Amino acid sequence: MRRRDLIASFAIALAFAAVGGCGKQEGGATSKVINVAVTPASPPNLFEENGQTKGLDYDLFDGYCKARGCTMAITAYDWQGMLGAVVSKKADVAFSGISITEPRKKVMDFSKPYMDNSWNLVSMKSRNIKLANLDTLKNYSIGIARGTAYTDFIKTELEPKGIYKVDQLKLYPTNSEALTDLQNGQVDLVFLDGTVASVYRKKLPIQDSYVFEGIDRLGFAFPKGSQLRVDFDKYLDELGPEKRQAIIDKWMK
Amino acid sequence: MALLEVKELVKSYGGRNVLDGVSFDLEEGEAKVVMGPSGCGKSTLLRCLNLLIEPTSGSILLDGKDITRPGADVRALRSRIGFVFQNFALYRHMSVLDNVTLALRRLKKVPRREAEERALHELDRMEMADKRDAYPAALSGGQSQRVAIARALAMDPKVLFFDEPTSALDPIMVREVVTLINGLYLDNVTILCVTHDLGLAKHISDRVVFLDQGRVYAEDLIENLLRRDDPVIEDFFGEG
Amino acid sequence: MSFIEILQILLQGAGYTLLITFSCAATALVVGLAIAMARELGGAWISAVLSAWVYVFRGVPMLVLLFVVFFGLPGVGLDVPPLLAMMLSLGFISGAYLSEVFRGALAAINPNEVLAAQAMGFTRFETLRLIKLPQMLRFSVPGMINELTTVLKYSPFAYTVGLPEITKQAMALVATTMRGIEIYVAIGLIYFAIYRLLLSFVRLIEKRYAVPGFAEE
Repeated sequence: MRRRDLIASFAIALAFAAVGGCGKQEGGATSKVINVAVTPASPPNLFEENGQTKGLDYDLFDGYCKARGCTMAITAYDWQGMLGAVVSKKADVAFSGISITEPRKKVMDFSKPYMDNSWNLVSMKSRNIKLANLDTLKNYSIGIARGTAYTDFIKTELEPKGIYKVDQLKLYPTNSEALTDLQNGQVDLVFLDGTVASVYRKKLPIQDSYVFEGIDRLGFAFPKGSQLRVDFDKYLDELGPEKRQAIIDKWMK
Repeated sequence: MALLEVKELVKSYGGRNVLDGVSFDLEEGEAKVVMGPSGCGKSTLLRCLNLLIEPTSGSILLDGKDITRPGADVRALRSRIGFVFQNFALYRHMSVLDNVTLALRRLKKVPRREAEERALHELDRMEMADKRDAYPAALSGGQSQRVAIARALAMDPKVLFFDEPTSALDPIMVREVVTLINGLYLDNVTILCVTHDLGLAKHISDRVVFLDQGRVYAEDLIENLLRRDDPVIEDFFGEG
Repeated sequence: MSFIEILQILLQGAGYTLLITFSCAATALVVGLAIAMARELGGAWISAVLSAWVYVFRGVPMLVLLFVVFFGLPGVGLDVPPLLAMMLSLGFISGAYLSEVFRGALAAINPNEVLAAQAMGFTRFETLRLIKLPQMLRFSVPGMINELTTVLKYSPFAYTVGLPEITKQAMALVATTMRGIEIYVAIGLIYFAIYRLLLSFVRLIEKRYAVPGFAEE
């Protein structure tokens, strides 16, 4: 009965898909598995090369796991998915150059800040846009990646001062798309983390038009009430500031 | 005991009696035609007889058993009545052969080979055996109706109901179909046929049940009816 | 990195794209059929409930539903794996649309054929299975192909719940190589190829069950 075979194999495949989608949740008998959420689109903090997850944040957490004897199970999400994963406790930790902000602190716990991050407004070298101060900022279009912390900053710091408005922003799925539009002239400036800017400066003819210092610090994100966070903070203390800076320097240079 | 006995059959729709106390009998081997002006209730009558429409009151006896009482086996009843529709109603997603064998295989659980043999026998009788693998879309009206008749005959029914079997056909096809139904009539198949086609009526039966406004106005041999000096009957047939 | 190498890396996500598309489309088919059949066989009450269901699922944005299922449900203790979350959101929404396709297809069936089946003695269930369903499915082919294409085009949302399908590969690659145009052109080609593949598969099934002259009046 060919039709019955078709229906039967269909049903079996459907069942497999539903079950297979459950994924493997195995820890070794002795080593603990930590569910990690990342967005591999933020070099040098977190990116993918040849199928391997790499980056500054990865090295830091890898050091933690080696010290504590656990292994990482890494799942890649888009930016909002990554944050959602840690809020809903699907992930035990998330890192990809996440800025510590007040709204985020309401729904997740951050580790101690592990590095300072400047916020750079970059533009194409060819256009030679250099802002001595923020008075003329509103004459330019600014592109940002969705879900990033710049929106809040503009809303709470710049808009009240009349420097810039949130609705003037152009939103993009990730930094990459914003930079593509920068290159083809569709947007004047792009907001990038200092870390990210350092990477792209090597690849694209861009320069800093204005740099906001001292407002942003990066942290590892954990679900609220996470014990892992407490232990990770302890590890950061054990690691010490010199060793930590060494790792940062390795990636930022 | 007649094969089919209809007693005081009533069907009302919201206060209006489409059938207003119809009574007649049909003997085994007999062929009767039901005729009458539009709205006289003839199609409703046919559909009440196999309970496609639920009668409001009255009784219908098939082989002496009242099928209108609650608990009657409708499925068994319907397999003993063959029904041929005006618009053929062939299953267009199935071949001619499959159309004819469907009920045999699914209702009577006849194995495929035997079912196909019986089907081909009936198709042959209707001169459609060579079209066994064709699909309904490829058939003419006359061919479709012949397949429909074969489909009804395949279940070996006690009686064949025809609902305006030639009304959707052009004159040439009408002649094909009439000839074949005539053949059934001559074979003593029990037939009840609703139609307004006098030519068909004359070829397939002796007696006409003339319906008017939901009642049996007259029942008689055709030639007698035509000779009657009756305004209603004359009105229907056109000329005296 | 040559264009070929780009393609190779992107294709690593193709398996997931196919898995997601197939699972969600299959779910949609099951859901759509269930709703259509229930409306055929059930009474007025069931039909009313299902009408409301279809209305809701056709109106809710897929991403919102996905978020609710995947990120929201753990809040009430229900932990849903990512593929299942996709099936419950994209699959169910597509299923609602499919049920409407089926409803239209059922209306195209000649009621005399249904009457003939009843006159033969078939029950409502048998009539549904032997007469209505085969015809409904054949009439629904264009609508089903449409939904399949839509499911394929919504599959990238799976990245939001952590499934590494093609779009994720693309985003990660663009971040490190900055060759946005080439990469997105490559993805476009791959999606198109997958679309053609699915189409051929569906056409194959369609041919197997085709009835000559079926849809002509």
